[in-house]
Amino acid sequence: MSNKDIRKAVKPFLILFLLSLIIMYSTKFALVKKARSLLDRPILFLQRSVFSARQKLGDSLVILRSGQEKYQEKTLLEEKTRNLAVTSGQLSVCREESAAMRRLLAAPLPPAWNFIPAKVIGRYQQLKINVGKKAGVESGMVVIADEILVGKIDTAGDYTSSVILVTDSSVKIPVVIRTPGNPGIKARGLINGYFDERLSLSEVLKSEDIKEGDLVFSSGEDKSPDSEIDWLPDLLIGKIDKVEEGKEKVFKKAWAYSLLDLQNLRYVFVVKVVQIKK
Amino acid sequence: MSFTVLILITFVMLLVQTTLIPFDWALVLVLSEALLAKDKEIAWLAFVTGLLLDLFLGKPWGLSSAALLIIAFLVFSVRRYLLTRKLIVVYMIAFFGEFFFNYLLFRSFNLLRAGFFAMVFSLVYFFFSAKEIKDNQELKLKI
Repeated sequence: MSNKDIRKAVKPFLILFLLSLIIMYSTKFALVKKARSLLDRPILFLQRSVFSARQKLGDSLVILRSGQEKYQEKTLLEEKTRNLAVTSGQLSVCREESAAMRRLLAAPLPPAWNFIPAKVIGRYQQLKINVGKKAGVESGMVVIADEILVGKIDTAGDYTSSVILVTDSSVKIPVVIRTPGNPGIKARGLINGYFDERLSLSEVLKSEDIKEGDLVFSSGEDKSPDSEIDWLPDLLIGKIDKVEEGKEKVFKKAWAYSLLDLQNLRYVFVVKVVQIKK
Repeated sequence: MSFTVLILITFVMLLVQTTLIPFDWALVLVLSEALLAKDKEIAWLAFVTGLLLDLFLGKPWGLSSAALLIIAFLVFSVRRYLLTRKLIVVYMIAFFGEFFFNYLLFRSFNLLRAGFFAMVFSLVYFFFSAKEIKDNQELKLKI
């Protein structure tokens, strides 16, 4: 293949590239939007069907492998662990804040948070959920499940949205570390997703005493450079399972894991923060 | 293989990619075509695959097409240097292809993912192009 062949081949590539850019720009127009939403529906239906079939098949395989009773026991234990972690986290937060205020609100999460329920319909690098702009979802909104942080809306279409997970390597969240059941903040740091599986905790001062089993919460402070909207505060992210002192003089490193099985999530909630009129 | 059949295969692959096996099957197809097929076909395949991928991922329409067209063209323009078909060359192409594609689409740098993708792609590529490689070698011998 000579340079002449390459020059000849440039034309279709260039035309189609320009066409892609035009399409990208024209998605603002009503006609293209309508065409997109018409095409979205059958795709949504297909994805939802195949994805739930996969989840059902996965469940059946686990049951076959470990027996019905063991499977139920495992699910129950996992749920209990999650609930315990959430409860102890809430306890730490509650002790710190005014008890009277908490009693008045009678809810562990701020009343200004509205929840949009969503079903997970696909999983690639990001989660795809079945709610979009029509349901009030906007890019940057925080997504939770069982009061544990799942991620943030990356792009929102009319009927679907994609969620960037906390384990994604592009995610950076300012966090605080608390010991279950104890009041107060033990340390501060920064959580990074690590190869879509684990959470790496950095920028924790060496003088701060963090241990395996400590819980990691979003601090809600400092806008991270790559995001337009802050991560909401006091949301449980994960549990520390390894602390490394390392060679650095100032900071130490730790590893954590999400308390959710992010690969097999079925339902999530998108958090919409509303202004409460006084 | 006719273009319609290729698009149908792409559709099924994308459905599998976004629901069953989260692996870049679309990129496997586009890279393979960029290494082996005719120029016009590659451009159209990258374009249509990108549009379909955006539908499946819920991304803005045209974003994946633009990304795939850039990668396909880069691979296409250097493929004449790949006549040796060394494993390491194919591996590197797949590695950087996946790496840039992920960055353009998700703004995510994931070396491990790119490494794994490149490994699977190289194996798939050599498996399916074995006949063509053999034909090329025989042709060279004859010449």
